[in-house]
Amino acid sequence: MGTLEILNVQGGDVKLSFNSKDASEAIRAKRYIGEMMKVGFVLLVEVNRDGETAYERALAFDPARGEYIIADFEGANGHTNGNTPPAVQSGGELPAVSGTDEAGPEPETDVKPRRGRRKRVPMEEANATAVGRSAGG
Amino acid sequence: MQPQSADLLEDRPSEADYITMGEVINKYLAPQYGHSWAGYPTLMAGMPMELHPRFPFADLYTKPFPDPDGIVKDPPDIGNPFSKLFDLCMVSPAWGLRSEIRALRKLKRHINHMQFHAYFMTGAFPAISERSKVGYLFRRLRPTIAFALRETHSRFLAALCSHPIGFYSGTHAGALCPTDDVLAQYLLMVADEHYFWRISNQHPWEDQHLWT
Repeated sequence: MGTLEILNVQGGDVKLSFNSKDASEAIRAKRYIGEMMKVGFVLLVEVNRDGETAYERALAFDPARGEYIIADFEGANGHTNGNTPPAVQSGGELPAVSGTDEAGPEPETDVKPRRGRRKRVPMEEANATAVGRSAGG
Repeated sequence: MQPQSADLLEDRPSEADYITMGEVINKYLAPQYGHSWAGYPTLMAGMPMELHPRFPFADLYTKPFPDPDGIVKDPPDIGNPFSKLFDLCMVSPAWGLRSEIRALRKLKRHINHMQFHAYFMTGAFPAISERSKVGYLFRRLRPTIAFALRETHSRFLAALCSHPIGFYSGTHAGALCPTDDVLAQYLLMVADEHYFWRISNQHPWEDQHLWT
């Protein structure tokens, strides 16, 4: 049974569970997840990576199949999902580095950002946490 | 008389001296205009909030709300560190004790024992990104410090500040209870570090509010 924990202002959290054997519950859950993705919630899906629990951000949700679509694991250059770390992003997406007497992070020029593969995770088999849109800070 | 454990968990006082607009919205407006999965934040007297512009009723939160006596206080003085800390204390009734304790339990599930011990005792815990090897110091009610690890020293990269839903203007207080804010930032970092940097405001080393 999959669960979705939503970080919530009032009660601390709201937890939804998905029972694949209950068709009406599954339909409702798919609708809820679709709604949340539409209004900008970030869904962080728990995955098993090399025997350890890890998280991936859901890039999309397929309501027809009830599956989260996440970036797939890639071991290239020690980076695990095709995302390059903040220090090596290109195209103006370098994190702002400020306030030190040293220069900013040195870009690893041999690492090129690339689009990772996608992987599907059935919602009934995954635990996920939903986080509301950030307003900055 | 020894305090009972239940006393620690006692939630908001029955005669609240603050205005819980979140509850008003939940009760009267949300059924008509729409439900928010994340709930509606509690608006404190004299403390305007900054919410994501697409959040339902976001504009209702942006103006100082009068206290129960109808007095509209001045907006917080964000230039004064003392004022910032004081405002933080004033905001604290917005969060339920039970919510915070539940958030602590959730956080404990996601980090190791040493990290949780550090967080419980000091309000901060370190973590290192497996992807980028960037170090992070996640702090309660303060921006997260990102630093580059070196053999002999660590180098400050940026202080990252993000609040799901929104935050109280001029303070480090988010709409979510403090540990849920930390948990959200931590999970975003481990799930998609690039996205975490992208949605966070980055504060420079010189920003005095990072350290107060």
